[in-house]
Amino acid sequence: MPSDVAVPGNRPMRLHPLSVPYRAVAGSVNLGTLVFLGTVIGSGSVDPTGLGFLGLLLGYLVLMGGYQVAYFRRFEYVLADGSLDITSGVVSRRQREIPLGRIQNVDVSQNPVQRALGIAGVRIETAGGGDTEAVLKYVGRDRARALQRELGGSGRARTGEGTAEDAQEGEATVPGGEADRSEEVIFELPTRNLVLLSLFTIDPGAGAISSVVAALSSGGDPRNVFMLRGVIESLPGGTLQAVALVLAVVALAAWLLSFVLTFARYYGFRLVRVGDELEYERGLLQHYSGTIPLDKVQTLSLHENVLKRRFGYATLAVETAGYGPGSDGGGSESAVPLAERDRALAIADRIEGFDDPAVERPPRRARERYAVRFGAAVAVLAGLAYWVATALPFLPDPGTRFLAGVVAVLALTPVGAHLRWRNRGYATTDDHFVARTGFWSRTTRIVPYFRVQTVADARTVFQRRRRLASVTADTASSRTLGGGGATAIDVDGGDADRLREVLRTRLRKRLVERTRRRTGPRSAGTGGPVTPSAPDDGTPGSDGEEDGDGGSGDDGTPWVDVPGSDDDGSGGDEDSGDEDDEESGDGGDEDSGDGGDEESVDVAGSTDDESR
Amino acid sequence: MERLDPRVRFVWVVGTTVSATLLGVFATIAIRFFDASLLWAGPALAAGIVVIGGIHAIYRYRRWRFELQDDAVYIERGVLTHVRTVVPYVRVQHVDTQRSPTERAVGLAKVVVYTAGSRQADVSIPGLTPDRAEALQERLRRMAIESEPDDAV
Repeated sequence: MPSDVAVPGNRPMRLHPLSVPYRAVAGSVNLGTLVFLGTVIGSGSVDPTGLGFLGLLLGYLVLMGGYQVAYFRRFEYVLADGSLDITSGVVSRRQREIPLGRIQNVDVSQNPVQRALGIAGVRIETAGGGDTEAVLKYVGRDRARALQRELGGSGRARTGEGTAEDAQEGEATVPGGEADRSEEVIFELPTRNLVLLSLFTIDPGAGAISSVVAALSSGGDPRNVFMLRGVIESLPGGTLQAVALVLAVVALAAWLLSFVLTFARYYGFRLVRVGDELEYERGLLQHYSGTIPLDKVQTLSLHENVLKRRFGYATLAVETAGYGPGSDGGGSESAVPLAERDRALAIADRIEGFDDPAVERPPRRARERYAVRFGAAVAVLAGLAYWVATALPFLPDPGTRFLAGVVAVLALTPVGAHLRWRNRGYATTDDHFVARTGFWSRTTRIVPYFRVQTVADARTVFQRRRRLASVTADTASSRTLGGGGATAIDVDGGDADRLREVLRTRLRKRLVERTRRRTGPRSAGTGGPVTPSAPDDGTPGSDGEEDGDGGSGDDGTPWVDVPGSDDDGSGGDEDSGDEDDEESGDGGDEDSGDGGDEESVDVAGSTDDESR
Repeated sequence: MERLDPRVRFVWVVGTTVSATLLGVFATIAIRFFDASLLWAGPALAAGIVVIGGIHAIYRYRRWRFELQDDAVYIERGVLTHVRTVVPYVRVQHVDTQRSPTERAVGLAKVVVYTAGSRQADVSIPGLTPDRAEALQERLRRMAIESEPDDAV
């Protein structure tokens, strides 16, 4: 729907007039003020109907209103010469210019009150810095919408100025991209999926809120939790049962709350492609919409936790350098909150030309490593539990049952190791580096080669013992915790050496290709293709290196293919069988822990590989 | 592959010694409140850390090497965890030379290479003579420009 309120260029614009009263009220009615008023009135020291108090309150409101009027009058933004200039500030003034080519995301949010008033907040993100670069609070709804489009792909493409830089940004800036404003709904979240998503999702915030409320409502006595005293006391059984019940109730409350929060957050989720941008909108009460320029996507990630895998669903998230999923409440979390796995992959294919490759698992000796690690963790925990139980007089003495329990858990470690091993792996496709890890919450991260920033290969002491390595391809995602790039964990040492070279050479190749594609049609305007050939000349033998990885994709085998990496279902039983054998053998090795074992482990590993 | 200046071990040991001394002082103060007969433990802790730091510095120096290759800076380092880092010139955002007081005292400098990455966003090459550091910085700068100013984030 073309917006009738276009953003006028070269003309200063102001915020929406209604933002003044809204900001004044919203600024006054915050938690701090309410608590202060509550305490003042509650203490009885002030008569809330008294003239003095009301006068004070009025004065405060007038002051706030006055400030907001000044803020409104001082705030001005202009869309001119390929940049967004914002002049703002009451006390200290600031003028900020944001080149349109540098804008990563434009987000619009509206809470129910703002929706009623017809105003919306706009947040503009660029790369670099943790903060949002510009916030417009608040503009009219249509203006927000128009801004979102103007600041997005077409706006960047249209600006003649500064294209030398902007043009580097992607195909979007090729002449003709301007015309492409075709819209197409990529994904709409069906109600069924929304309910499922709400069931699958455990919102960490909900857990915290539930615990806090539980703690407050108990008032120090756990039996009072959520006013459940009667229920808890009527139960047969001792303290242990009561504790279990309370925990269960808290967990249930957290889950229900999480359901509601997730439901409201993703209600009405829609992902639309507009020209060269993705636009999403979502939200039941608080309504969000945002843009993600396709040519700014740094990393894709596919999330499939145990439940989702069981039922064949997946979540697809997109990271740009502006923000990543979960970086803040207002940002974009997912491109696809929940869809059938095939569907999610099809959308990944649309966004990044990515299809689901067979990943190469870590070598089998990595599985031994996991088993040993889990075993050690169990042993340490059991030891601690034993020590605590014997040290504290009121706990029952750990007897044979405790020992049996420990043995039972130890017996499970091979299973855990196998699951971890099965869900880990990497692949190198034509255009992407793919790394997967995690059993409970499996994440597959997909990095286009031309987005790679640095490549690192790390080998800990324990990894070196088994000739393993972790290879990381870092990208410029803004997300630091668990984001940015992809790591292939526990790759065979030799493969890691090759992988490093593959990443490096393909980064260079794809960059050159991209530049060529862009500078080709553009060469009439600017200096033409100056650079593309340079990297090729400087690196003799790059082709040889790339071919060395065994199928670089020119011949239709896009990923590093290793025989036997694809034994998903059939080999499962066999695997766990010999895994057990290896495990018991290796457990002994690890305990004695001297350098001499290394060889035997290696031999075992290599014969294992050959036998397949 | 280029190696670091051997004096860099001294810089590292000084660094460890400073932090170990601080830790030793705090530990000693803390111990005083519990059991004055254990006062020796603080200095002992510090001394132990210095010894370990010294050994670590020796091995660290032995492992550390770097090379300016055709298209990237290649670095190998790490004692317990061996790390090999590849920083393509295309990705270099800017290059610093830095000199800490210890480095100035022994006449060394280090070069820090910044990328837009999220994890190893800055990679530093310590233990360089000031001339070498400057040359390196200049060379990196040139390589970064030559390898096309492509694809800002």
